[in-house]
This record gives sequence, C-alpha cells and structure tokens, in this order.
Amino acid sequence: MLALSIFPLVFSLGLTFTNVNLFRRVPLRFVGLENWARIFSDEALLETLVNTVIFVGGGVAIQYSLGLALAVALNRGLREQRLMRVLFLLPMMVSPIAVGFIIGRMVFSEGFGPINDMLGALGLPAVAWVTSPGVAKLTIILVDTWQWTPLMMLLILVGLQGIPGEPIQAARVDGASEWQIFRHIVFPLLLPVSITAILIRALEAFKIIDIIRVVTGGGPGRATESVTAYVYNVGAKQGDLAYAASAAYVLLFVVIGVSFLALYVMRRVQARYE
Amino acid sequence: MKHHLRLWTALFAILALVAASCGDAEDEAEVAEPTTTAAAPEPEPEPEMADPGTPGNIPDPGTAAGRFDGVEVVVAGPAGQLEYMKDKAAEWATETGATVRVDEIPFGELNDKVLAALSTDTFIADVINIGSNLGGDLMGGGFMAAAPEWAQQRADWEGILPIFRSNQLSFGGVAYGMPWDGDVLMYYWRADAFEANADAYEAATGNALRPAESWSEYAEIAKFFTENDWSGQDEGYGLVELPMRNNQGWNGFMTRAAGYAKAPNDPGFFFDPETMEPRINNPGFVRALEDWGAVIEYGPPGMLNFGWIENALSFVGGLAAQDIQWGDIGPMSKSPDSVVEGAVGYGPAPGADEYWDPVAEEWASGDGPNKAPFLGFGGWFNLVPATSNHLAAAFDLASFLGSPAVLAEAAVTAGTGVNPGTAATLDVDLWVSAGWPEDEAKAYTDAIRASLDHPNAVFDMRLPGFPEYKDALELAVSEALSGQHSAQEALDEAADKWNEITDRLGRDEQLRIYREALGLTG
Amino acid sequence: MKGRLITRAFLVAAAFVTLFPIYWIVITSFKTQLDIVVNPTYLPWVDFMPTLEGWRWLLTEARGDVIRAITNSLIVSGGSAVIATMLGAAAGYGLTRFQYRWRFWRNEDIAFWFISQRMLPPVAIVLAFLLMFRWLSLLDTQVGLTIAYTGFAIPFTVWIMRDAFAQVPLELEESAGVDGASAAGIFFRISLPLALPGVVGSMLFAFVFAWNEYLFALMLTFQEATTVPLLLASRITSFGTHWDQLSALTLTNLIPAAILGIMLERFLIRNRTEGSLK
Repeated sequence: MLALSIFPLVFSLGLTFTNVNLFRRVPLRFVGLENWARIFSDEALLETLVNTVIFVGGGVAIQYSLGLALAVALNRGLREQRLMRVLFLLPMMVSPIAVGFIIGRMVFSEGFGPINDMLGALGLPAVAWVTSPGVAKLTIILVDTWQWTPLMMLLILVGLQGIPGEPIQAARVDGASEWQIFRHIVFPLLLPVSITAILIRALEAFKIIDIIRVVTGGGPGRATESVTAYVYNVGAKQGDLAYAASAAYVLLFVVIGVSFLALYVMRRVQARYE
Repeated sequence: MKHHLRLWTALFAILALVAASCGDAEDEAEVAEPTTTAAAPEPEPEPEMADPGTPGNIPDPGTAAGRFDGVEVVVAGPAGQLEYMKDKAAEWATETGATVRVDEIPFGELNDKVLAALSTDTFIADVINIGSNLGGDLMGGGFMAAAPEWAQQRADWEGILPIFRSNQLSFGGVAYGMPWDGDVLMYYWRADAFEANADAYEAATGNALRPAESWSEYAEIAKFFTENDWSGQDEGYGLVELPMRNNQGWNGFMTRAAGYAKAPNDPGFFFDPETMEPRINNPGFVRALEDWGAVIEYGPPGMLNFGWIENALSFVGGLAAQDIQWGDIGPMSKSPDSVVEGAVGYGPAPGADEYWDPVAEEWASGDGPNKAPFLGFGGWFNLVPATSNHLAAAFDLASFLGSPAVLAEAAVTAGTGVNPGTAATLDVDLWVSAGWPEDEAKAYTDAIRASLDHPNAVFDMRLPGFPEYKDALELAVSEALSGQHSAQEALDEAADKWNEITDRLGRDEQLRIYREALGLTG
Repeated sequence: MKGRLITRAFLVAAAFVTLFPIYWIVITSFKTQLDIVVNPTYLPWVDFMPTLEGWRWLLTEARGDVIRAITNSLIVSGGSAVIATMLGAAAGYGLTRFQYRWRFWRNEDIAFWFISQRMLPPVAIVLAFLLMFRWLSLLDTQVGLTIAYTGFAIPFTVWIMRDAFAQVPLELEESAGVDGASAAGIFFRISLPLALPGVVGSMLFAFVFAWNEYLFALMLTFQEATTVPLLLASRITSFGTHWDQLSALTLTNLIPAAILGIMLERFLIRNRTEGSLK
C-alpha cells in the first residue's frame, strides 16, 4: 500500500524533469528544470489557479454552512428526519458525470433548461448560466454544491453523535436559548470534525474536473477551467505529460500551503474555545 | 497497559495489511487466467511481426474458412457507434474461426486512453477504430503497422475517394489505415420553409430566397427566419451551428473560415507552408470570426454550448431553417426523431464573397463566392497497432470491415458513424434501395461528392500536437464569441500560442509534416 | 415551537432543491431526445408523452453490460470501502491513543502526510498506475481497482476515524482496563462501538468515492472489470448524449448506493442512554 502511494508521487515528480510526451516516441531525455521554468510564464496556469481557488473557497464555504445547518436540523428528533437523512445523502451518490450532464447541461441549459424556463414564467430575464464568464463560475459552484453538501452533512452528523448530552442538558436547565447552546457548546465541540470535513472536501474540490469538463468544457474562454482540468488537457489531450506533471505539482504545493494555513487558523480558533 | 495497547495496534495494522495483500494474492490467482488471454500486457512477438513503415511483410492469410481458428482479435473503438461493427465482426469471426472481443471506450476519452496505452507499450487492441485527427500522430509516431497489399485490395483501395486515401488512411506516403467513414461539413436548409416564405423574404429583403451560396446570404436568410414566424412551432430560428469549446468549436469555426482564408491559389490554410507561421490571425480568419459572431444571435438560445446532438436535433426537430453539419443529417432527417423528412435541402457549405490572398496579402475574389469545403474531423477509420499479437487476422478483419459491401450497408444504417466517402457509399442506387426518393438521394450524394471532390477542399489538421492547436483556437473563438475579446485580439493570442506550440514541438519537423499532409514535396 | 417550524421550512426547501434534479433525471429517462432538447417539459402525459425507450435499452441490449458493470462496481466499491475503513480505523485509533515521534514528525504531521497524498491531480499519477498495474498483471481486474481505490480512500478514512476515536472518552477505556478487559476487548467492545457512526460515515464516504470514480476505471480496465461510471460515460457518444439511456443508467446506479444508505443510516446515530441533543 505504501509503495502504491509513493511510487506514483515519485514517478510523476521524476516526469517533471523529462521530455515525456505521449504523442512522440522520442528518446527519453532529462531536461532539468525546463518544465519548471515554463511554469512561471504560464498565464493559463495562473488563471486556472485563480478559478480553482474561487471554486474551492466559494463552494466549500457554502457547502459547509448548508451541511452544518442540515446536520443540526436533522439531529433535532423530528419525526421525518430518518427519511430525510437518506434523502439528503442522495446527491453525492449520483455519478459526477451524470450530475454534470443532466443537471449542469440540462437543468441549467439556457435554451431548454427548466430554471430559465421558470424564471421566464416569473417574468424574470433568462440567465446566461454557462455562456457568461462570471455566471458560469457560479453555475459550477452551484452544481458542485448540490452534489457535495451531503458529504458535509454526513461528516458533521457523525460528529454530532460524539457530543455528550450532559452539558447541553445543564445549559438548558440554566435557561440558555437554543442558539446560545449551539454557539457556545455544540459548535466548539464540532470544530475538530468541521476541520476534517472542510479539509476533505477542499482537497477533493481542488481537483474539480468532471463537472467542469461536462458542463462548460472550461469555457467560456478559460473562465471555468480548473487546474486539474488544465492538467488533464495538457497531459492527456495534448500529450505533454512532463509539463502536466509539473503543473500538477504546482497545485500540490498550493494545496499544501493552503491546507497548512487553514489548519493553523482553524486550530487557533479551536484553541480560543479550549 | 498503554504500552500493550500500542503494540497491539501496530500488530493489528500489520495484520490488516498482510490480510489485505494475501486476499489480493488469492484473487489474483483466480483471475490470472482470463487476464493473460484478455489483455496480455507483454505480447509475445510472432514471427510475422510487422516492421512499421514497411508494408507488405504480413503474409496474405488467404480466404479459406476457419483460417484463424482459435485466434482472439480485440477491437477497441468509441462507445455508442460500434453495434453494426460488432455484428459484422461476428460474421467475420464465424467465417474465419476466430473470436472477436469489442471493447467500447467512452468517446470523450477514446484518444486519451489509446495514447496512454500505446505510449506505455500496454496492449490495447488488435484493431483500433479512431478519428483522423489522432490518426496522423499514431501513424507518424510509429505505433501502427503498415497495411499489406492484400488488405488494401480487399478494401477496394481504388474505390476510396483520393482525398481520404492520401489524407486519412496514409501518412508519409505509407498506407496504414483501412477505410470506414468519410466526413465533410455541409450546408442544410429547410426546402419547405424556403418555398413557403419566398415571397415574404423577397418583400422584406429585396432579394430572391435561394439556398445560400455565400455566408452573407446565409446571414441574411438567418436574420429573416429568426425574425419571422415560419416553423409552425412556438419558436423558430435562422440557423444552428457548432460553436462549443472542447466540443465541435474547431469544426464549426473552420467550416466558416475556410471560405474566407483558403485561397484557391495557395495550398496552405492553417499555416504558411513555407515558414509554418500561423495564418489564423490573418484578415481572412479575423473577418470569418467577426462575421460568425454577428450571426450567433440567430441561433437557438444557449447555442454557444451546442454540441453535435443539440445541433442535429434542433434542425431535424424543426427549430432551425439552416444548419452546418456532417452528412448524418441526411439519414437523421428520416429517423423517428425528425419532423423534416423530405423537407431538407443539401449543399456544400457556403463560401465567402471575398477571400484573403495570403501571398498577395490582399482581399481577392473570383467568379462567385469562394468555397472551400472543410473535411472536419476527417472520419473514423481502422488501424492495427504494431503491438498486435495477430497482425494478419487484424488486417483481415479490418479489410473486411472496409470492404464495399460492408461500408455500403453501414452508410445507410443509422448510428454506425459511417458517412459516405467511397464509390460504393456514394452510389445513388444504394440510397434508393434504402428507401430514399431518387431525387433526394441524388441531391444528397451530389452535395457530398461536390464537397469531397472540390479542388479547394481543406482536410482537417493532422499534425502532432493537434489537440493543443485545437484547444488554443477554440479558446480564442470562445472568448471572441462570448464578447471577452475582439476577434483580432483573440486570434492574435491564439497565433502566439500556435507559434509557441510549433517551436516546442520543433518547427522544422512540424513544417515537414504539414507540407507532407498538403502533398508538397521538398 | 417556532424553532421547529423554521427547521421544517428549511428542510422542505432543501428537500425541494435536492430532489428537483433527481426528479429531472427520472423524467428524462422517459423522454425522447426531441422532448429533451427542444423545450423543458415537466410532467409526463401532460406536456410530453413518456417513452420506455431508455429503459428498454437498459434491460435488453445493454443488460449484460449493465449487470457486469454493477457487479464490478459493487465488488470494487464494497471491497475498498471495507478495507479502507478497517485500515483507517487501525491507523486512526493509533493516532488518537498514542504519541508517535520520529525525528521532527509528530502525530499531526503523520495525519497530514496521509492526506497530502490525495492532493495531486489524478491525471498526474494515472500513468504511473498503468505501468505499475501492467507490471503486476492487475490491469482489467477487480482486485486491481479495489487496491487502487483502497489506497485513495485510506487518507480520508484515517482522518474520519481519528476524529471518531478522539470523541470516545478515554476514561471509558481506562475503567474497562481497570476491570481487566484485554486491549483487544477494549477496542472491539468499547471504542469501536462508540465510534460506529464514524465507521459508517467513513464506509459511506469510501464507497461513494469508488462508486463514482472515473479516470482510473477508464485507464486501468478494458472490459472484464469495467465499472458503472464507464458505462455512463459511454452514453455520451460522438453523436451526442443519449439522455434517456444516461438517465436510466444513472438511476440504476443510484439505487444500490441508496439502499446502502438506507441500511447504514440507523448506525449513523449513536445509541445513547442519556437524552440526545435536541
């Protein structure tokens, strides 16, 4: 298992120093830092990096808020909550390919999609869900949110189960409001789980590709292309595997940096409560 | 206490690992048998091993029944269009004694998977059904076995239109491929609506309504049909095209640009064939993109994200008065999805009133609009990888699939992916026998033939790095069409990117291959 | 009372947003191509005539492929979910109960190292897997995919299980230890049951991940071990998308996962004697 996880890392790191290209049977040559030098003048990579950060930042924030709200709402002992729990898990079980096609390309379709149709029925103007550069980013985030809020809910729901009942009972006896209980007891106790949930989701979101490739193909222009989609285009579609690996490592460094920063901040927040 | 627990956890972890790996080992033993036969990773070279680039050293297996007893031939191709091929391969298998396995690869990732396997020397198939854009790379990259003489004969080599023989099936003067599909983008219009609205059109525009010969007529017709109620449905539009990035945006744009930028007196189109300097930001291409951007509004809403099916269904669904598409629209207009049976007009794509002469560097015009039919995508065809275990059987099957009888049947069968490109498939009688009215069959095959035999026709790009060139261009087109950049800015940027790609891949080598593709020597 | 009303209203709104796209998939599976791309239609028999064409395709022409793909998906996803959760539980338990130190590496770093392996875009490592699997003769086998998916899921299951065990009070384990329970007894009788929601959450996560994974399934299988996502993708052809077939397949793919969700849902909620969080 260890070899399984290390070999690919080393292999792709090695690739970044070579001239490997899927299209051409050229002799393997080590090109030193040539690929890495290209990185610094690659505006496309920068643009896709910015897009990716927008998707991750926007998407994960919305998904965490909704997931938290859903998990708490489904943990209040309502009669229908068991059915609802399964129901709310469904979106993450739908294959991303189908999510991209049926939801991204049909529901959000500007020509034959129900959303614009319903907006029209309400007298509102049609929205350019996929053809306007700004809105297309939002569309990607919305589709991603539909699919992955359930995961947040699942992980937070699991975390809620580990919270002891006594302090809550005691606070309730003392006359604390539900909001106060949530704010001062439940939320702090949920922080470790929240960190894990956000980290897991963010790591997957940084690699967002399936939905993008299907819904917008990265367009219009490059407005919705993520780094992973870019790496896929360069590596698999264009065959320039060596450079694709280098770009992938840039993403890796960014993600490690962001994760360290996020972990640090979240631990600080956590420390405030302890 | 704590110490024990720790030790125990470590043991548990190790045990779990061991258990997992043991489990794997057992399972592996069970599946080892089919794996080795199905997808043998390191094929044993047979005595008849092909030397790529040297045709004719695969012995003719003859035509005796049962000649490949016990041989398994694996075919790989795009999912969703192999049903007919499967049936035919099964026929072949029965006759020869071989078995055929057909692996379907999702269309969107077909090229990626084929390349990944070939470049790591992983066996993927004995016969690969692939599109022309990648074909050049596969043949030029030395991945493929050259076609032996006997296979060419069985596939009726002389009956294949020359443009496909040289541009699709061969590379560097060597034939590798076996024929399957022939592709060219054409112009379709609603003959019924044109007839019904002729007077209104003339009253509105002062011109007689006729099928567009030029893109300017096309635009005027599109405007008229978008602004007037003609379809008998809630909505009706003047045109439908193929502008989507990472989809058919390349083909949609090139079909239009060819008329503006392919000068009849110069063989080059994408590049200057002397310097490999991109031409895509010259005034011809820029005007093509500007004119294209101006007519997008006459298409159905969301058309910027239309792919093949959205385009085709909009037209056969009766929503659009004009369409730019491949030959499939003909058979599709007779499918159950269609409301336009018998109401479709067929013709080569319109031309440009003026074309840019890249040598004289000025706008020029000839007699009437300058037409340049674009063979976008260039068609599906069959290749045999040099790593095939059974080269003779593979070519035997591929040549059978490319034989006139099989292709003729394929062309008139829906969903095969086969568009006419051979003598047998362009035979009017074939279409009549498939139930077409004779005049329509003639109109359809004439339009295809006129496009394919056109002296100014442009075959799709077949260069190493094609996906990169395509991506850069589609990005620019998409930016221009959505209003993020002007056509000139966008295409300048794409041309810079093209130069960068060319330099990285080696300008001299790219130039050599480009000239070879154009039939220029020296 | 008011709080409950707001909660209910929120849940109903969320349910609508969640279910509408799924409803759309359901009705799309009964539409003809033309009903799909021309105009949005909402109600069968009212604004479009339902057709069983997509389902007919699924149950006749494609039946063999569908059964094979679902079987492969179940084996690969189930196998990797169970193995990854087991290994994740072992490692997660270790990380919460003991302090490891090696040079400057501490528990937090180890946990982070686990997860950082999942940060590289998959396309950058898939070729390495292709080479490795060819060498190990694991191409186009269920075992191969199971191993790959287990490897991908472990970093996450470790983190989820680490959190789950961290919430199990140490005093419970210690008092059991005082009462003479063995280390294994403590783990299986006390810690693991108390961390059951974590186990289930982790299994669901790993299962869903493998259930929907596309790129590795594409590159590492040819025919024998192909999974449902490949079949789904194969409905997107050069002629465009067979929406009805894609939708029918998507629902078919959703059903086993949903059944698993229904089965496991009860274990997501820990059985507690002291009144639950209200």
